[in-house]
Amino acid sequence: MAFRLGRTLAVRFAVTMGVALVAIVLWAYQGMIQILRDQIDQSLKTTYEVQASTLALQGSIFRLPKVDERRFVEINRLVVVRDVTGHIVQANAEQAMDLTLDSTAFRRALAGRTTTTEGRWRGREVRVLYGPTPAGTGASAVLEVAAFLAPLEAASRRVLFRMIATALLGALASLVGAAWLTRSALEPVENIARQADAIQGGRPAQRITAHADVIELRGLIEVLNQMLARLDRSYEWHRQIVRDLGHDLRTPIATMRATVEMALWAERRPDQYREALASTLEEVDRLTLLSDAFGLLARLESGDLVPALLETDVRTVTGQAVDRARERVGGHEIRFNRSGEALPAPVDARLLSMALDQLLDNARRHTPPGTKVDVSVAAQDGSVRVMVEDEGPGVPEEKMGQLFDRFYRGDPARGRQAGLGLGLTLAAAIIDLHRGRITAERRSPRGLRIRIELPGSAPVAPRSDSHRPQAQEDHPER
Amino acid sequence: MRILIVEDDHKLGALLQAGLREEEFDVEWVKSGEEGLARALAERYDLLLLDYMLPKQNGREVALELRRAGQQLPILMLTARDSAEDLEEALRAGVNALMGKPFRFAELVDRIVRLTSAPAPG
Repeated sequence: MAFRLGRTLAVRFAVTMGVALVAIVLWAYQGMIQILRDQIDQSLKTTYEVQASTLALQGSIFRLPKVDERRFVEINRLVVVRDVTGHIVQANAEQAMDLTLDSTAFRRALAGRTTTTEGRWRGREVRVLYGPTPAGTGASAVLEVAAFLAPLEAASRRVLFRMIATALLGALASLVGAAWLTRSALEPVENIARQADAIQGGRPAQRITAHADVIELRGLIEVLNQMLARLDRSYEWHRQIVRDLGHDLRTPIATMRATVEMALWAERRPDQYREALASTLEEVDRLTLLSDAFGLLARLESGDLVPALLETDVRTVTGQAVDRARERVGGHEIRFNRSGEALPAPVDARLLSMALDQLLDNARRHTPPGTKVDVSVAAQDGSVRVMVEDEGPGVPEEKMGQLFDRFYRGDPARGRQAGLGLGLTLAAAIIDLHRGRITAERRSPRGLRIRIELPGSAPVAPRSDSHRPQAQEDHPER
Repeated sequence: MRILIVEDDHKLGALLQAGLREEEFDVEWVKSGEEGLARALAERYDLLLLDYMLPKQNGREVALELRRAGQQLPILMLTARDSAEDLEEALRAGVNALMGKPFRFAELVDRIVRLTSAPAPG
């Protein structure tokens, strides 16, 4: 269930504050009542002591002048002296002559103890103190001092009402304050959400700028902007793939269409039809290759393809790849010395062959005819290393990081000469599947070196590759 | 009518040359932008059939150089790219018309005829 955070926080805060204020009010009220009672008790005790002294000195208590009922209640002090039977023998006012008697407290007073109690008299709550009279006061036995509680209750009710009103106002003020606070706290978030919502795919470099200067929100905005930057890169990457794939599909289709159209344009000889069909077949092969490369790449990258790792001599697999390349390639000299001891490694020979084919094809495509391509294999620190080095123009330093990216072509305008732009990506995915490592580096003075390191299955004695072509001397490592 | 084809794809270039010759155009074919630029500046052609994706100097750059050099011959560009930016760039470079790959040969011929029969630009 969705709810508005601002309203919910404000209501919850106000309710909490209201409950807390009411609890404080009740606690304060109880405390106040107790203090008032203590004050009454203190007052009763003082009256008792004064009247007891008066009784001891004068033989009678201090009497009030004759007052009416209203004044009598306001004065609020009733004092009577009782004999041992409980009969009132003296009173400070006529109205007190029928003051109620608490027999328990009276008995305690007779026993010499002072006791305070509560009762009702003339329909009103009273608090009463019973205490013994001073010795030598004749028939007097107990001094009883009483006070009405009504003034106390009225005062406490007024205070309680004010306190509750204050608590309610406090809760209301809390509600308003909390609403204002939450609104001001959430407003930046809403602004950020509004900006994020306005950002649309396909328009790069859109960023959230709202409240980027607020320290508390800077982290959130940075995270969102970093995410947007990643999405931008991903979007651009996909856009590029769709664009390049469109181009790579259209060129063979254009050639196929032109070939078929030209064949049908006029009456042709049988050999011309055969040539048109053969040409069309070539383009179909190219499209198939592209489709296969994509399919293979997708399987490699998704982890669907499980390599059949078998102990295989990498030198032999590399030699076979060189043979295939020599059959395909014209105009390049591919140098490889196949003699030497076996270099076993757990590899999927079919996949490794594919990777090597791609590397050799890549070297051929990107180097001028007549240049050399050196291939070498060697054992190195428990792994098997394969290197393909060419004498081409190499790759600019700033482009080296993109070399294994999909559809990366050294020169974007090389057309089909540049190949599918998937060769090195495929090779890298295959080597990755073998838990190997593929790296590229520029050669001095020119050319590119691709180095593959495959984990060896058994300890392989390190050895220098004595069969390495001498060409390496011409291109020392930088 | 003389047409210069600049197309690095050997198969497509050969097909275009053969097809247009059958239509009785006087056709020459070069395989790079640099060669195309040099030939178009040195000789007189009635139309330049220019591929967009060429090694080193691409079709857009060739068109731009020709226009800068004051060469006003009609340029028909063939392209496998059809993004708005690519098309806009090509037209800004001075290309008269564009044809996306794949194209119909009859349509290509029709476009060539129209461009060469239109009054010379500029």
